[in-house]
Formats: sequence, C-alpha cells, structure tokens
Amino acid sequence: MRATERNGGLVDPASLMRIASMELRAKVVVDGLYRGIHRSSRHGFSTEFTEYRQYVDGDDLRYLDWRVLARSDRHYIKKFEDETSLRCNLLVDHSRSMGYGSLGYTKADYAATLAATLAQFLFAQGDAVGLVTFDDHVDQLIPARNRYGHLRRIMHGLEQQSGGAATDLGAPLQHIAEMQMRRGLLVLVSDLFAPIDTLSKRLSHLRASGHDLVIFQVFDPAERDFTFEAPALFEDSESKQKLYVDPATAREDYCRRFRDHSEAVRTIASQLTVDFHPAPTDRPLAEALFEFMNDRQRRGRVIQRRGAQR
Amino acid sequence: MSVLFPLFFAAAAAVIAPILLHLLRQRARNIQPFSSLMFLRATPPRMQPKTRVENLPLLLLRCLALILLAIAFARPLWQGTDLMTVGQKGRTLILLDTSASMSRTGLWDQALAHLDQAIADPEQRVAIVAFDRTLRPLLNFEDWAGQPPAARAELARTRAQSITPGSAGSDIGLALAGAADLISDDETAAAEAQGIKRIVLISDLQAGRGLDALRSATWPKGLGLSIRQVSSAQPTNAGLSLVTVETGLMPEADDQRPRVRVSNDAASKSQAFTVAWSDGVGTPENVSVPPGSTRVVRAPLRPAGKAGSAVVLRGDDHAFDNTLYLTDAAPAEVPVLYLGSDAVDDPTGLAYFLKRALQPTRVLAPRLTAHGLADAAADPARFSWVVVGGAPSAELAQRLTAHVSSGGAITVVLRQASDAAWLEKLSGHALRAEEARVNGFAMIGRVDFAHPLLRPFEVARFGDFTKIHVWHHRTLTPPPTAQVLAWYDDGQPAWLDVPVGKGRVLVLTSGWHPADSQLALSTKFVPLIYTELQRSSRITPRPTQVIIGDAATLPTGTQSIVGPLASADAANPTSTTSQVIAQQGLYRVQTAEGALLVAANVDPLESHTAPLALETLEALGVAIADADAAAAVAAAEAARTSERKLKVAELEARQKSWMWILAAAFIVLLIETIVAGFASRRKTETPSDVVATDVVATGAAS
Repeated sequence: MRATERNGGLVDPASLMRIASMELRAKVVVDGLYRGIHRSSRHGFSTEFTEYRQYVDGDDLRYLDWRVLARSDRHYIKKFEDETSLRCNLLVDHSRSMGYGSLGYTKADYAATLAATLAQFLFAQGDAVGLVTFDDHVDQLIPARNRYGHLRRIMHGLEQQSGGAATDLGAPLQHIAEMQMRRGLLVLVSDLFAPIDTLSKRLSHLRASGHDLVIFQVFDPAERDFTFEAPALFEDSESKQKLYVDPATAREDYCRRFRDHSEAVRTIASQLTVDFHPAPTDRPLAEALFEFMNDRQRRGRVIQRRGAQR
Repeated sequence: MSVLFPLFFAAAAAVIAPILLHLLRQRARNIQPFSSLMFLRATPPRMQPKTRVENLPLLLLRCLALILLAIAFARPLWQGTDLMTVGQKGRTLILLDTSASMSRTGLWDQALAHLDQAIADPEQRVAIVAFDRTLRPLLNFEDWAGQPPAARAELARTRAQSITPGSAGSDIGLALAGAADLISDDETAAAEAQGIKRIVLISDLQAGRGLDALRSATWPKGLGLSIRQVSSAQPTNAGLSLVTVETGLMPEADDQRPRVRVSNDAASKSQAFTVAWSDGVGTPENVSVPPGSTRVVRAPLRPAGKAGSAVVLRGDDHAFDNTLYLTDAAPAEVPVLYLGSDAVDDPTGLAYFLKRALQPTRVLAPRLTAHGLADAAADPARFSWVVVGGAPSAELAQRLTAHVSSGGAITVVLRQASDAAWLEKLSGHALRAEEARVNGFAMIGRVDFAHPLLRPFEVARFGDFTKIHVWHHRTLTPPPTAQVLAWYDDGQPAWLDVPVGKGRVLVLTSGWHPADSQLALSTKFVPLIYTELQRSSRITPRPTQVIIGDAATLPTGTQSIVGPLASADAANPTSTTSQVIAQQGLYRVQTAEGALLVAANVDPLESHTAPLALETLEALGVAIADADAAAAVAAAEAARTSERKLKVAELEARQKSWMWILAAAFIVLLIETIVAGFASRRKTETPSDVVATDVVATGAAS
C-alpha cells in the first residue's frame, strides 16, 4: 500500500472504506489521531476564554471571577468564546455527482466517512453535533445535540445512500442559511460542482448569518487529472446528458477549467475568511482531520487576539 | 424486366449508411459515467481517411444485403411481350356535332381543335361520326386501323375538315344512342378483353331535340362519355320561325303579313330586335323580346301583289337562324258544278246549302256553278267536283258518265226513288230503289270511319251522327262493287261509294235539304262537304315549310327536290336535283301529285343555344367521364394504369421472384454475421476496456 507508506502510519482511505460500519471507520481515524496528541477532551475550543467584562446586576454569579475580585476588589465576569460547548453542523452533499468514484469507492463514501470522523471527534470533545444532508433540497436534518445515542443517529444518517438528484448547491445552502440555526460551526462537505457565482453568493449568505464555515471539497483524482484514454460518450450522472469526448484532445482544456474552478472557490473562501480544504478521495482522512484541527486552533487564536485588542 | 413497386428502389439508397459508418472512426460504444460534464466540451468525432475503409468485405456484404432487400421489396418480374400492349388499346368514338348552331363564329375551329386532341393517341381505335338529326360516319374503326399509326391522325383530320356544320337541327339523344350501338358493334372478342371505351362528344350541347332517344335506350356498361364542349363568347341569339296558320279557316286580310315567332335565348344579353323582309320592302318592325321568352309578330306590310320570299331578323350575334323563307300560299281554286232543278237562293233546295258550305279557306277557293238538269251548257269535264241532285237529261247523263269514267268524281243525291234509273246506266249495275217507309224519323246508325270521307269523324267526340234526324230516304240495293259508308238504323245503306271506270260516284240516298233530313243543319255537314271536295279535287293541304334535316316534314311521295331557287318564280334552279334538303332556301319538290314549292328553314329548336344540363344526361344513366378535357385524359390514363398494374401484379404473383431474392439477402446477412463474428474475435480487447482499467490504475497511483 503505497498510500499507507507515504502517510507515515495513517490509515489509507482505500483500506478504511473496506470497514462497513461508519462508526468504526470514524473511531479508527480519530483514535489514530489521538495517538499523537494529548489534549483533554474537557477543554474543547468551546471553552476558549475570550474576554472580561464589568459585572452588571443580573449577571450569573457563577461566572464571576473570584480571583480578580480577591485581587482587585472589582467585579468581573469571565467571558468565554461560546458560553456553551461548540455547536457544529455537518453539511454533507448527497447529490448524484457525489456517486462517482474511480478508486473502488465513491466521493460520497469518502465524504460520509470524513463527516463521521469529524462528528466522532467533536462528540468526543463534548460538542453538539448536527447533520444536514442535501441534494437539490435538504434531505435529512438532525439537529445539533450532545447526548447519549445522538452520535449513533448521526452515523446512521451518514450511512444513507446518496440517491439524490442534481446538485443545486444554491437552493439547499439558501435553505440552511434561512433555517435560523443557532450560530455555530458549519462544515460543508461537497464536490462544489456548481457555478462560481452561485457558490459565492450562497457562501457569503451563510457567512453573513454569523456561522463559522469550513469547506471540504471532495473530488476524485480522475476528476482532477482526467485520466481517461479512449474516446467515449461521457454521461453526466445528474442530467444523464451524454457528450462525446475524446480525452486526448479534451484533457488539457478540462484540467485547466477544473483548476480554475478550484482556485475560484479558494479565492472566495479566503475573502469570506472561510477555511477551505481540498479533499481528494485518495488522501488519508486523518490528514484532513488534522488540518481541520489546526485551522480551528488558529482560528481560536485569531478570535482571542481580536478580543485582546479590544 | 420490370418492377411492381419501383419506389422501393429508393430504399437501396440506404447503402450509404453502412458506407458512412465504415468511413467513420469507430466510436466508443461504451458509455463512460462521469460526475459532471461541467468542465467538458464536446469534441467532434474524427473521420478516418477515405482510403482507409474499415472491413471492406463486411462493408460489401452489408451493401449487398441492403440492395437485395430493396430489390425484393420492389417485386421485380420478367414479363412477356403481351404485357407491353396491355391497356394501350382503347376505343374512342368521336361524335362531331354539325348542327346549325355549330356554325356560330369560332365554334367549328374549337371543335376541330378538340378533335385533334382526341385523336392524338394512334394506338387506340378511333371512329368519327358527324351528327345533326342523323348520324353520318366520317371514319370507321376499320379505316383507322387500316392506316399505319403515323398516318391515322392525318386521315381523321382530313375527313373532319371535309365537312362543315350544316343547317339541320341536332338530336344529341339520338346521336348518343347510335354511337353507343356503333361502339358496341366494334367489340370483337379480342377487343372486348382489353382497353377502355369511350365516346367523345364534341358539341356546343345545344339541346335541340333533347334526349328523348336516350330514354328508350340502355347505356352500355363500361362506356364513358367525355364531353368536349365548345362555346361562343357572344351569347345573344334569337331565332325566327313561322307561326303555322290554320289552313281550314277563312282567309284574313292580314294573311299577306305572315306571323313570325321571335324566340330569344335565355342566355342572351340583348332584347331589341328588328324583323324585316329580306329584300328590304316595307318598314322593319321593332320587337323587344326578353331573354328566354318568345314573341309573335307580323312581318312588315308589303305593297299588294308583291309577296316576299324571306323574313330576316336583325340584332343578335349569330346569323344561322335569322332568315325565315316563306312560300306564297295562295288558295287553290276549285270549280264545283251543281246540277239540279232548285235555284241557289232556294232555301228548300240542295244548292242553297251547298253554296253556303263551300266558303273559301286559306288553301281552297271553291267556286260553285249551278245548272239545270237538262242544261246543255254544263260541261262536267271542266269541274273538279260535280254534285247531281236529281236525274239529268240523257245527254248530260252521257257526259257525266264519260267524265266519271275518265277519272272524275260526282256525288249523286237520290231525291226520289226514280232518280236511281240513270244511276243504273252510270254504274252498269241493276239498282232497285224504293221510297223507304220511315216511322217518324230515321237515324244514321252505323258509320264506316275507315273510309277517307269519314275519317275526320273518327274521334269519338265527332263521331256521333245520331243527332241527325232523317225524315225521308230511299232504299237501294247496293251494286256488288259499291262500298257502303253509312247505314240507317233500319239497316238500309245511307251513303255508298260506287267506283265507275277510273272515277267514282258517291251516292246519298237522302238529301241534306230540310224536306229530307237535318244533315245540312248539323255540324257534320261542312266537314263532310269539304272532305269530299278535297277528295274530288285531289287537293290536300301540303306542307310548305320544311325543317332541314327532318325528313318527316317533306311532302309525302317526294320524288326529287330542286333547289335552292333564287326566287319563287325562278325557272332554272341554281342547284342540282337531290333527295335531301341541306340548306335554307326555296325548293321545288316533285311529288307524284305534282310539283310543290316549299321553304326549307332551320329547326326552330336550334335557336335555343343555351347548353344542355349535364345532370339530365346523368339522370338517363350516361356515365359521364367528366366535363373537363384534361381531367378526362387523366381519368383514362388512370384507368389504363390501374389495369396495367393489375396485370403486372398478377404476373408477379405467378413468378414470385421476390422470395428468391429475399432468401439470397438472408444468406448474405448470415455470411455477414459470420464474418463480423470472426472480425470481432480477432480483437481480443476492445479499446474501452483498456481505458477503464487505465483509469483505475491512474487513480490508484495518484
């Protein structure tokens, strides 16, 4: 297994996908990650301290900083980034284009496993995790919770086959933005095969409604490199439209356009201060999870710094 | 070789499809599922260079199979020579109208043009018949068939150009019935089997005598009538005809101005006409006749003693019926001799009533001369009819006998039984006469209406003689040669006809004077006297008007006809003697009873030039192919084609060559399948499989 070797002990996706249970897959990834880091599950991002403020009448005395009071005889309230634990909603694309895969498993499998891994990880931290699956409309909606059995429910939701129709990222994202969910972290796992304009509009909409956003773009290596040889009728998995393509002549153009699209998404993400992670399906999941954690930590510091400057 | 459905040959064009497919670079037949075509653009399939046709044997096999299939569906057949002649022969009988109305301007040229069209096909059998009131064959089927095909049309044209429309009326019904018979007579067994038959009627369809002749005939099945109507651009036509006068009536002062009937055709546009004498004498009469109606007017007044020979009508477009020839019908003078003891002004005598009965009529002008029974001046030979009322003197009796023997006619009235004595001598037979004993009155009980004298009373309305009371009559034993015309109710003969020599004697056993009977007072008297006058004088009303083409209007016993004469008095005819009258004018007709001047005119029915309604023809069962010439040809062609198709289909069904060709096509397809199987087995790996495995490998590697 070349992939395993290269990733220094991380489980390669092809092996991982052979595990039938989504819960077990997630456990394997998360446990593998924990082997390297030692951090208390009790101190999640959600418990990050943000600022002090003057006590006013009516504030809960529980959050009064007694030490400050003892030291300076002033009443201060200790404010955290989120007063409860982190509220994370996983947005998983179940459209038909996600059903493509040239590696023996599909992009949807990969996306589901990625989402399951994140869920497992966050749940273990004590954060509330929710799930939204969508194709051209919102398909399943599991509200963010952190209670016994909820993880299983999420795993079960992720195990559902992607039987959706066309990807219309616009409509479901719009719907999610309008759902008045409590502000929190949104993790979008999708191939993002949608026009740039729509994407830009919807993502900024989501961002504007106060959510923190992380994007995982899932794609197959064949989609990136167009490694076909023989001319064939290429059939769109969503519209069932057929197009005669001779890869020898079409490859260069395809790759350029694919690259342009990814770059455009990345640009939008940076403009919106959204974390963007390309996730080719041949990449070990642990890497993706690791990137996610790094980003969250960095993001936490940014907020802290912002709070300190004030 | 020919084919049943040549259109299927077009299917052979389908061979282009395999050729193109072989020229095309083989396209991937497999479908490559892909997530999204968002970043893909279609690339056109590349053609192989023309020189590199893939799988040439396969291509040839496929083309061959397609061509064989096309041929099989086209149903080919190998035909004999007999098929070539199918439907080409047909019989066409051309009826060419030569009636007077066809002499209108331009019509004859149109008719000849139609004829040219009808005889265009030299393969058909053609006959041409001209008609007016009668049929005149111009060209029969044998004449046509006897010529080489190239010369046939020319012959027909020459024959048709040799005639022109005459002055006779038309009888389309008779012509059609006759033509149907003619064309049916031509049906020999061989000809019956094939070809269509039709009558082409080239006519202005002027109604003429109408279609009465067709009513009694049955229109043959399968015989079509094509009508080629010729028509004139000038619709106004009016005609002249003579109003026949009652010849038995007394002449009138206006008789010099004959009454003519002006009839205007329904399609006419004008209604003002002028009637005048042809020689210009007198003031022309203006007459207004609305279209579709007729009006009777008198010809203009002429100076006394100058009779005209023709009246002309002016003001319409067509001249063929505008002249009406007339003969001067002066009454014939008939001298009548009465021999008797009574005076002409004695109302108790016979002469008194005879004089009053013999009034002049338009035809006869009797002149009565009365003499005594012993008058030596009386010469019976100078008189047409002699009436004897009593016993003449011996000398006179002798003259009378000579007169009768030489062919004269006398009427003897037995006023007394003794009068029969001279009659015995006259007839040469013993006659016993007595005064009959009459109880009250006698009546005429039985009459022989077959006798010429009594034929006018034949009709039941006029045949009742019982109202005539006879007070006195004589009984007479009739001589064996005598013919009794009437009997009294007691069985005694009343009137007898006794032939004597070349002549004859009419014997009345009772007089018409009041002392003997009421005969003179009855309505029977004048007709009886006039009939006897005509018989005796041998003058019968003769037709003076002859309708051209109608033999029935010619005087009976016509021997020869001389004319047309320049005028009524012309001694030398401008035309030679003939048997028929073909054109308008005055003619001198020689009959057994002498020469007669007649005027020949166009049939008055010919003036109504409005065409016949085709519906009436159809109502009589005539199968009208069409009214339009082009459509007729097309219909005939269609019939011929369908017949040919049937024959061809029959022959094809016998040969069934399509089955063999279809079998061959299947064999070729079988070979094609085998060859294609070999070819595909040689390619152990299809290009699409290679691509699929490549993709998996590349994906894993990246």
